[in-house]
Amino acid sequence: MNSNAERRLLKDLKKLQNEDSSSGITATPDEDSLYRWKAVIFGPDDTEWEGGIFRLILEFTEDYPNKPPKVKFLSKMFHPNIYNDGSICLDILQNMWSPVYDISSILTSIQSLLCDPNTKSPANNEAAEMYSKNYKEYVQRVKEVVEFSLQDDEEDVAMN
Amino acid sequence: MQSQHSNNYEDDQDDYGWPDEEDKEQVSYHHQFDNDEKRQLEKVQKLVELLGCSQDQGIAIMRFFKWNMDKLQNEWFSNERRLGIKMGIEFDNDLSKKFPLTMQSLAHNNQGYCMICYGQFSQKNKQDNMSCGHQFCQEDWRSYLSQKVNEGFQAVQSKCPQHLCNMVVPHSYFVKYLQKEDMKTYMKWFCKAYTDDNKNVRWCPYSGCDYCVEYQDYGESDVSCKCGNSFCFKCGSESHRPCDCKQTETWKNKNSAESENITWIMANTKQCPECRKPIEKNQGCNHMTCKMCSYEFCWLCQGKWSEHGQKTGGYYNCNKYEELKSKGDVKISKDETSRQAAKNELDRYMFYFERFNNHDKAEKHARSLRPVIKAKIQLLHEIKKYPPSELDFLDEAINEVIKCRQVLKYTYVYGYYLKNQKELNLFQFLQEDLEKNCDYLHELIEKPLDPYLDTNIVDRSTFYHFKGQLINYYQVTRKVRLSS
Repeated sequence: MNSNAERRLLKDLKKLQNEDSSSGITATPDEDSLYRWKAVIFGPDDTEWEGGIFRLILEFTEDYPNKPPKVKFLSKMFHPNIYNDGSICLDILQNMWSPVYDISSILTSIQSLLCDPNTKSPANNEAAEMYSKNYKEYVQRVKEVVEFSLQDDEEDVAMN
Repeated sequence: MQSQHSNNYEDDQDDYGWPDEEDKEQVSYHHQFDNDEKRQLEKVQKLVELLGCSQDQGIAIMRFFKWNMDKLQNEWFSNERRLGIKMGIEFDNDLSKKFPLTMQSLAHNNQGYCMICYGQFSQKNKQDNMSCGHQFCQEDWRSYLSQKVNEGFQAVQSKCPQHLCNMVVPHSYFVKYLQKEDMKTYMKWFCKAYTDDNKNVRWCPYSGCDYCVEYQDYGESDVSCKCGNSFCFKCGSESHRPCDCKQTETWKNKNSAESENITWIMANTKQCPECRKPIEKNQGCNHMTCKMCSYEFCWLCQGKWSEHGQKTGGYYNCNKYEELKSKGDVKISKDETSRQAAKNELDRYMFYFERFNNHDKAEKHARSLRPVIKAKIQLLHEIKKYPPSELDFLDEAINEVIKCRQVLKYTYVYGYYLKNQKELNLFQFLQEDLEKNCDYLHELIEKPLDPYLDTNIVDRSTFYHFKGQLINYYQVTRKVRLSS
C-alpha cells in the first residue's frame, strides 16, 4: 500500500493532468522516485519573462503535505528572490506552508513571484537593487536569462 | 525594605534606608506552582463565565491579552469583532476579497473533498470542520497537529490549514486528535505559553529546576522557589538583596568588563617612550630596558638613560622629575594625579570584589554541602532512629547559610556603591553582625556529623546539645539577616 505522501502525490499528478494547458506550468515525477519531480514554468506572456522556459526540481519527503518540498531552479535565473544556486525565497515554501497547497499551487505561486518580486527580502542583492533603481537594465538582464533558458532547454533535449 | 520570603515565616519589616523603601505599601504574595494545566484553565473558566464564550475562545482571548485581565476588560468590550478576527476566534470573511488571485488557485475546494489528502468524505473517512467551515479528514487533522507540535512551541498558535485562514486551532482539537507522546509535547508548549506570556509568572533561574513562581505584584522583590532557591522576580537573576537590580547589573558588568584591566594597566604601568608598549615595574632601580625595543630609559622621568648622570643628581636618583614637578609641569602632574586616582579606585574595588568573591565561593560550598547534609539526615534517621521532624533543623540551617552568604555577597556590592558616610557606618555595623553570625553558623554546620552516627554511643545528649546550639545560632542569624 502506498503511504499518505505517495497517495497525495499521485492525486497532485492527476490534478496537473486535468489542468488547462494555458496555465504555463507542467510537472512530472522522476521515473525512479515519486518523491522527485521535474517541473517547468513558462514565463508569463506580456511580461519581461515572456518566452522563457524555466526548469525546476522539487524534492518531497514522507511528511508531505505536512511539510513543504524543497524547490530549486535548474535554469539560470536573475530575480530578487532567487539565490544564485537556484533556491527560492518564498514564504509559502517556509513558514507560511500549509498542507492544503499542492504542486500546482506551488508552481503557480512561483510563477507569479517572477513578475511580482519582494524587494524587502532579497536573495539576490544585485537583482533587487537593479529592480528598484535601474529597471531598464533589470529587464535587459531578465531577457538574457530568458534567452539562456531556451538554449539550456535545447541542450537538454539534445542530450536525451 | 520589605522582605517577601516564603510563607513559612513572617514578613519582617525594617527600614534601615534600603533603596526600595516605598515598596512597603504593597501587599504582595507569591505562589508556587507546578505550572500545570489546571491553573490556566481555572483562569479561563472565570473569563468564560464573564463573556459567555467557549473554553477554546477563552484560551485564545487570554493568550492574546497575555493573561492581563485589566487590559482585556479595557479593550475587549470596545471592539469585540475586530479583535475576534485578530485573535483568530472569528472568521474573516473579507479574506477572499483581499487575496482574490491566490484564493482562486485553491478555489476547487468543494464540499465533499478533504483539502489535504483530496480524499472524499464518507462514513469511514469522517470530516471535522472549525467554525470557519474548512473541512479536513480526522486523520489529516492528526498529522497536521502532530507536525506542528513537533516543530516547536509556536504550535499553540497554529492556524486552520486552509490557505490564509485566520482561525486559530482550538485547544480542544489538540486534546481530541493528538496521541500520547505528541500530547505530552503539546502540554509542555501549552504550559510554556502561559509562563512566557504572563508577566506575573517567571521560570526559576536555577539550573535543573522546572518550577515557576507566580507573583501578584510586579515589583522589585525576592521570591523563593519550591526548589529552595530564591531569586529576584524583577530581573530573574539570583537574589541580590540589599542591592537593586540596576546596581547588580552594573556590578556584574564591571566585573566582567575589560575596563578593570585597563584601570590596572593605567595604575601600574607606564608606556615605553620609544615603542609605546605598556611596561610594569615591580621592583628594581629606575634604569629600564624595554624588552620589546631595547630602548633604555629612566622610570621616573621617562627620559633617555644615556642623558642621565651626575648632572641629573646621579644615575639612580633622578631629580629631573622633582624639578619638573616643582616647576609645575602640567603634563606630568596631570598624568600622575590620574594614575594615583586610578590606583586608589582600583584598590577600593579590589577590596569589595575580594569580599564579594569570598562569599560567593562560600555560598557555592554551602550549596554543595546541601546534598551531603540530606544524606546525613537520612542516615541519622535510619541508624539512630531520630524522627524526621527532629532532624529538619539541619536542612533549615544549611539553607539559612546559603541565604546569608547570598545576602552578604551583595552587601559588598551595595557598600561599594554607597556614598553616604553616615549610612555607610550603620550599614557596616549590620554587615559585620550578620557576617559574624553567619560564619559561626557555617562553621557549626560544616562539622562532621559522624560522631552522632556511632551506634556504640547510646547517650544522645551530645547530639541534642549540638542541635540546641545550632538552632540557637540559626535563629539568631535569620533574625539578623531579616533585619538588615
